[in-house]
Amino acid sequence: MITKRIDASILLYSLFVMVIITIIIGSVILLSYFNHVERQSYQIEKELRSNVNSGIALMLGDSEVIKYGETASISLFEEEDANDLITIRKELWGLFDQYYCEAEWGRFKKEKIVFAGNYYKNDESIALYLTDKKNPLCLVGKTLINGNCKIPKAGIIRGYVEGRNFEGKEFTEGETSDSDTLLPINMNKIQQNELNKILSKVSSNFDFEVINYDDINTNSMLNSFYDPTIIVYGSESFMIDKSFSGNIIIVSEQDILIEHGSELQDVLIYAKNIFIESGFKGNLQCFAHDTLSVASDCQFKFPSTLATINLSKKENMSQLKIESGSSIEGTVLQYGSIDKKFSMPEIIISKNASITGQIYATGSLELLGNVYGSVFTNAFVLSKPSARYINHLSDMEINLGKLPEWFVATTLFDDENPAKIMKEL
Amino acid sequence: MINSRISGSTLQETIIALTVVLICFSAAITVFVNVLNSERAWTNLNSELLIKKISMQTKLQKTFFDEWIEDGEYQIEKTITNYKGKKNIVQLHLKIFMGENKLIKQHRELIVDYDETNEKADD
Repeated sequence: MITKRIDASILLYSLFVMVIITIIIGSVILLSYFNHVERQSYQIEKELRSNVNSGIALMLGDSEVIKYGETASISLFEEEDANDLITIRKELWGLFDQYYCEAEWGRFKKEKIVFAGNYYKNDESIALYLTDKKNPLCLVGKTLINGNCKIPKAGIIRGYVEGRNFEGKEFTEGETSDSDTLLPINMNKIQQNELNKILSKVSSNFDFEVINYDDINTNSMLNSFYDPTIIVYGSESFMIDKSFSGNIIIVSEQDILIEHGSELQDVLIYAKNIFIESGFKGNLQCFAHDTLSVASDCQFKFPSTLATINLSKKENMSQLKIESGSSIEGTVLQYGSIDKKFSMPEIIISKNASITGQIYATGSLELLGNVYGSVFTNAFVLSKPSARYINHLSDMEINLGKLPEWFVATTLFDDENPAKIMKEL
Repeated sequence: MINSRISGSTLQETIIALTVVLICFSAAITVFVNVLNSERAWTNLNSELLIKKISMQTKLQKTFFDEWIEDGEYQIEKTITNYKGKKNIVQLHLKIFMGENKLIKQHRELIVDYDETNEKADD
């Protein structure tokens, strides 16, 4: 028999202790739960990231897995229990291949966009491709050609220009073989970047947001590649003095002047004529219909493209000129008909200008600057006050050995090389 | 001067209450720490790091061939197969075992083979 009386406040204390214990245990259970959920999320995200990278690898390794402009869903490993379904898409961004891959599972989604290209240094790379128009290649002065060459059957000979002969020991450092009469070309990449094709996209106003250049009030515009493309359009000539970055296409039916202070990154520019002011720095792709002029001391950083594309059959309709002191890391392209009289070269690379990458010219090329990479052309022209020399190169360097290992650009012809990532976006 | 008396508890009651709270709290913390530091968590983390390491090594050193790798208490079966007959793509399949061939994790990924010099078994 209990004779001692227990104080009633004990009940209050017991309740208080129970509440504290409940809170502590509840917190611990919640923490464990969140820890478990986070760990699961991490695992899923890791798997999706791996699948996205595998999807990109699939597109890099097999160019035929998907066509341009198409979207496809693929089960990577074709196992029932694996969450390996990915969506891939391939498009062109200027000359670059743009690969998109997305992996989704429940509320989790991972996506990746990269620029890719097939041109990079390997054992089979070509330093010089000069088509066979039955003229030999003539070298003058301190000309250096390093890398494998495809040249006309007439071969390479010593040239003699204004009292100077070839001063080197060997014509080329690399293997030489015969070239064809035509340059290899993938016309899809050329046609897709022709001004009229872009203007038809602007007028169709489909899948794009079109903004008039004059309506832009801000000093800078940034658009992610994960969002729909923005087209900045002007029917008249205008000057770019603002900052544009990302998924933006700038189009004019007339001329565009790019001011040296403007900041341009990854954007595409299409116009009839494009003029770039001295001292400009940026990385972009420019496509002119008639004239593209790069003034002195400009820097086009990797990966860039400078191109004139003119599908008109009239001769000598376009010209691309790069002035002294300018450097381009990427592709310089001129596509159009050749002036058979060679009255004016379609592409001029001035003395002290340098190209790291490739030059592709269907017209005649006056190459006075250095190329650290490859040159594909139908003809060289060397203009001197006394005369104009066909297929002559003087005091310049085409050096594939100096092309950096990391460099990747677009090939303009069908190439079986697996692609490499140029840039992750 | 305060005249009203405040009702309190005895020292015995307070000590019992504090003891119960401390016992429960320490038990809960012990359980939680055990969950966080459980062998499974460490095994998971270690196997993920192993997968990352071997995947990187395979890509950088271009070791596109099958291997059986022992790393401490883990055994790794690395299998390289040609992916669906595609010339430049290989499939890397890693299986991580622990103890007596207990499969604890596996990983698959596709890698571009830029050299294409290694002979691979067809998938």
